[in-house]
Amino acid sequence: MKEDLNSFLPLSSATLHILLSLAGDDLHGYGIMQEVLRQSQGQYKLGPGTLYDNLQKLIERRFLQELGQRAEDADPRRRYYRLTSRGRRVLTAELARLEGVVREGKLRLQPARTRRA
Amino acid sequence: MLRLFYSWLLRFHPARFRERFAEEMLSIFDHVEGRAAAAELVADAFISLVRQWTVRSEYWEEKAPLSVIVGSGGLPGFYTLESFKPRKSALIEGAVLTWIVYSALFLAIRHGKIHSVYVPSVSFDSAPSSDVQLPPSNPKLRPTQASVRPNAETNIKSRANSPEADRQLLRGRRSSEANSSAVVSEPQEQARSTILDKLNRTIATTLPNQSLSQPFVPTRISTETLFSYVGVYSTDEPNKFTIFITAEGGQLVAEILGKQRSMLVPVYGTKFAFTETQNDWIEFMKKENGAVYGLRIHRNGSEFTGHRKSN
Repeated sequence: MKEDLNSFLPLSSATLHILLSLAGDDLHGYGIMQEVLRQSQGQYKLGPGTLYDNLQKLIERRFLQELGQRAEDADPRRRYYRLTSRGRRVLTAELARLEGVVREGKLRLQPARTRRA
Repeated sequence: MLRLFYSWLLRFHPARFRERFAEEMLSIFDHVEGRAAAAELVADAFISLVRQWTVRSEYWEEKAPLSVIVGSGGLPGFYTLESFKPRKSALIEGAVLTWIVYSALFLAIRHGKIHSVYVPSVSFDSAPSSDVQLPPSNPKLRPTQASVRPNAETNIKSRANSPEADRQLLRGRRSSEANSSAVVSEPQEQARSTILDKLNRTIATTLPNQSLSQPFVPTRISTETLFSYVGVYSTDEPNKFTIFITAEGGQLVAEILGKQRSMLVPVYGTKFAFTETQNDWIEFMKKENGAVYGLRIHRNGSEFTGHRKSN
């Protein structure tokens, strides 16, 4: 039986970007910040305070999993995080919701003549 | 300098957040380049500090780490629970539990059998609602102290200050009070049951004003003892008068017909004080076998001795 994750929607911007950044690969905190900056093309800058506040919440909700430190990393203080299947499902649901918003927005923003035709 | 300030801000975060993420946040601070970027992180840490202590109360609680201090001889010195904060529900439950315990304690004190304070259980009826109709000719009577049994009304109404009236009143009282084999009516029986129920409670009081010659001690009076004082007493010459001792609502009442009627409060032994003036008292005299044969009345500085005429 599939869990209904709609109660978590809509996601906040920070949550959406964090989940999105971890959708490709496991990352540490600084890596997440860099990936969010890259994905948003420099428009959304995530500070460590906001990042770890959200990470704490997402781990509690089992959307993320903490992997701990990696021996090969240059900085032993860094810990890595991974998107769980539950997190992936909620991200998918949020993207589907956003697609609907974009579709509706595009439809409404079309010029009046095009809509009549 | 900024790094020191940043780590100082991190130190003031809630323990759970700090222990989990402070090192990583400091690691990020070490990776950023430029003073402006570092200042941004300091501002971010300050906002984070405010947020964690205001809107993230659910994360304040933590699994308390147990620290064991090893003392001399390898034995643990003491335990500390670092940054322990009780749950909100635990605080509410504690408050409710405390309220219940204190309420039960106060109720137990309030309804305990032995009281060390002077609380006379005298019920005063106002004159209009009283059944007693006092003769207007005698201003010394105190209508506020009247409290009589149902069958006493006719006796009091018809009474006069004469030996015949005394006998009539006494007959009326004895019919409802005495534990005799006479047939009594239902209201009388109910009134008698009520009085007996009240008398079954042990009385123990002290007077606030120690005006008697001996120190007050709590006195217990059983129902039997209380009834043993009930009767008619007559004082000796030259100040001859008759005093009626009755039991009403678990207390003795002394009445000099046409003059005075007072509740008596047990003081110690066989001594009873008048409720309205604590300097006055009555002491009952008993024989060796315990039978009450007389009384001494100390009233307004004078003393009268009386003998028991009848029960």
